[in-house]
Amino acid sequence: MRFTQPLWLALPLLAAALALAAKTLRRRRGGAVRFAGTALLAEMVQAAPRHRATKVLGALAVIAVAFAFSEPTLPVVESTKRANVILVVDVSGSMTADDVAPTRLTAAKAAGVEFIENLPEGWKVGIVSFSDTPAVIVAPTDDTAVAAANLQTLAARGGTATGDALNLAIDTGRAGGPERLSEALEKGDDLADPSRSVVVLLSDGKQTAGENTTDAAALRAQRLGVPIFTIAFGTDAGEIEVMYPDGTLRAISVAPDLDTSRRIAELSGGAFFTAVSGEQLAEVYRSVRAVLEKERQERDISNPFAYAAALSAAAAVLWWAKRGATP
Amino acid sequence: MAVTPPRADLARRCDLPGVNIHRRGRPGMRTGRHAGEGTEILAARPYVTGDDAKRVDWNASARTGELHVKSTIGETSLNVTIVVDTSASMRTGSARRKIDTALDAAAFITEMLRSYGERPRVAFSSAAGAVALPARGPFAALATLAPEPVWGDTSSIAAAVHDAAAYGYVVAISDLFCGDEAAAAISAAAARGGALLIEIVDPTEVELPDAGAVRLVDPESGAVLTVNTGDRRLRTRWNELIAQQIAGRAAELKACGGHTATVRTDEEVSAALASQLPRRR
Repeated sequence: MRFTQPLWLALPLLAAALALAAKTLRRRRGGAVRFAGTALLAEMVQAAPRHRATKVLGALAVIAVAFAFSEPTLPVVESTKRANVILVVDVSGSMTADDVAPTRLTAAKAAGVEFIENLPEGWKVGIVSFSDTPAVIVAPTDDTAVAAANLQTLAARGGTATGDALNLAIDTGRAGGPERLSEALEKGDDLADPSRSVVVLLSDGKQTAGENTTDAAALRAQRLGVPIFTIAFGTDAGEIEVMYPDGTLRAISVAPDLDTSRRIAELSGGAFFTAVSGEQLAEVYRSVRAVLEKERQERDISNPFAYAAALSAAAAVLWWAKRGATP
Repeated sequence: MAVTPPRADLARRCDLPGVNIHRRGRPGMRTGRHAGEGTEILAARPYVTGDDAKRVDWNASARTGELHVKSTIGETSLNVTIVVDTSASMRTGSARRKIDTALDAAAFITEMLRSYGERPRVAFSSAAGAVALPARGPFAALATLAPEPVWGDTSSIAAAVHDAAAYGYVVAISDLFCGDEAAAAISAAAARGGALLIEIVDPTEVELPDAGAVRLVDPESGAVLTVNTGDRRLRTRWNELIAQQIAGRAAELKACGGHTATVRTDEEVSAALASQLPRRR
């Protein structure tokens, strides 16, 4: 068990110290009435067993409150079913722009390799690349070397079919491995017992190709519980040269589309990042890694403690009110 | 401590209970109007015409050459000891301190006995030995003789009562919490030479007042008890317990031939005692 807010565990000690201080201070202050029949009254009342119960219940309540506030977490026990992170990499023509040195794609590959190699425990990685059509480069695997090598082989050309790429990534992630990939692609939403998956989309532009829209894909992801983390890569000054049908070479702007990326992340329940350089991209990947780590490990169990605290406190108060005296 | 002088008119109308009826401490078969001559020898005095010839002291006459007779002193009708409880519990009291009421009760009894010509002794629980009170004079002597009750003093009147019982009649003045030992001693004294127990009672003891949550300290043992006096059931139980205790003690004492009287700290002592003690015959 780990505690997100461990300082709260000091609460019972503090409460005990306060109670002790109050008791000793009260004794010194006095303020009691001398009554000749006190001994006889004490005998008559005989409150000892009920008083002990009240004290115990009160102490339990304080301890439970401390535990509840300290937000304990237990590691999720899912040893057989591991989770998958699918890197979706845009390899459209705009990725050849050199606003990020040396080219956007090279920087993305480098950062991606670093991400794969430092993947947190419990995650498998898969790679989907897309330009006009998406393709599964690497099905979710533990073998980081293979995944990194395949990432390096990507080359950029063509349009941007983001929606289709996301759908493919979702299915690949839910398949969890090459064995079930074809089944996942066939059955889509109806896949039985899907693996937990997360999609990281690295893109630099608006969708220009493909059948499905990014909104539809993002909503599907939300419905199936697959968060999509989007990274809008590139600067506003990015430009590439394109050969026009009339034979001229012109430069067109390939500024990243922040709005679409943000929308995808919001709709699917993921997070949105921007990166304008290789270093920033590496930073972003580090943040994503941190999120993955936390996701695997956290399972907040503070609720039962909160309920226990409330019940104990209520019982203690009722018990105290019931009887007449404390020795 | 100051002793309020008792009302002499009321005191003179009363007598100790149980004495005339059983004639305890007075040997003899029949009751007479006057005390007998007694057998305690006082002195030898010269013979005067009319003296009883049986009373001639031959030894003294032979030595001096003149006829002498023995003179005797009449026994005082009753040797009374007043035992006052001066333990810590007597120092409490809501209207007046119980010890002050107790000393007033002792003064009343003393006035009553003085009008008979008797001189009672007085003993205290926290001091050893009994002291004879002066035959006349102010009751301030009682106040000076009595030791002030001290917090934490757990002394009991049992020992003093036991000693006084050998002497004669015992008037024990105490509160409800004098202990079982003292109660047993008083019963024994009642069987032996006669006893009167005057219970000094504080209104808060007989009827526990509703004062909410209160911290009580026992004046003798120092034990602390936090009580919610707002609890009506608790108060009723206490009142019943105390009433039971008073009744039980009275019955026990009566079975041994003793008597009880009760004086509350919020009422006038003379009137209270005069209404409970038998009238003088």
